[in-house]
Amino acid sequence: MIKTPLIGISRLRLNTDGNGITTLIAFSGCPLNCKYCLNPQCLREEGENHNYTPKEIYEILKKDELYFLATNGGATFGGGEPLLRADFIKEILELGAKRWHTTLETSLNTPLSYLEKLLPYINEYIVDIKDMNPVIYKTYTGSNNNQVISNLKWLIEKGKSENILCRIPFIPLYNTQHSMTLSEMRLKDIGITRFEKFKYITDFK
Amino acid sequence: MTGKEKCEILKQIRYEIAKRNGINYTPSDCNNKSDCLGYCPICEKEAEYIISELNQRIKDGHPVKIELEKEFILKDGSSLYMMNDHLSTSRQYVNDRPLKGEIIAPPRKKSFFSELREHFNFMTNIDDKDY
Repeated sequence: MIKTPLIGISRLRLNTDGNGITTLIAFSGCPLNCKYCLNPQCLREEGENHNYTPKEIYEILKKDELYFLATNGGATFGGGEPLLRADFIKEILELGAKRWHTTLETSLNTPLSYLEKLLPYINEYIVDIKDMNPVIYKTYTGSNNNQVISNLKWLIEKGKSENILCRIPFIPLYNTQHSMTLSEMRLKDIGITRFEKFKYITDFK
Repeated sequence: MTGKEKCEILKQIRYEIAKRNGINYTPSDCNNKSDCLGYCPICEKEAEYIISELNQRIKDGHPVKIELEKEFILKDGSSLYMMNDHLSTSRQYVNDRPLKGEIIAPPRKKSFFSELREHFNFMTNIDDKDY
């Protein structure tokens, strides 16, 4: 397997972006172009970030196995958009990482085939919804959210509803508390039960 | 949470698992005076030692207990499962380390008023029926 660029590896996180103690593997590359992107380095050309093989990442994860087992933690794959690296992630999991709790932090804005590859391995999905309103989503990310909703419905059909946490941010100048409530209602309608609401801190206070 | 504080929590986890499984383990004294990432080669060696001892017990057919229950309390009285090393929405990185604090957006490229006008026009076109 060829090397893949990462924007960072953050080890031993406590109850953050996944159960227990986790290591976050943050991949380069993203289909979105969010106005308040947290990790703009994920959009850099390949080759500007550090490159790793699946084996190298697995060896880093393995160092913290004791803490993963003690706290039911494990690997969290984020980015950027980790689904763009589905084959690479599958290889890390097949090397042995699947024995720990696995979390995918994703926008779900990729073809379904990427999601299908990881379905047997992922214990928890943290889905960055942005806003369910297609106009707000498009204005904020530059992409439409049809694929997000269709992938979300597919996961629910596969019985993963309880394994999904939807993040709904308040995005200054793009949505409102009212639109967050509407997003939550829409998501409840399709079967989502777990939500995390928060606010992006910008200089538009 | 500082790296030193995180290191102390991880040390307590190692100690607890070793104790529960009858593993002879004394955490080494840390001579590092400055802050750290919460882990270092010495701590990693200790975790590796405990894992190898656990594997040996499994191989020998002895039961092992690794998972800490939700009620597990740290020395300072706090619950391990209630701790957060930073806000869950912070996912920025500098040299492999997440920045602490809330999500901070990058600086604006346009002037405040031109952006505000643009977004006012956009928000007035939002319709609840689009959801």
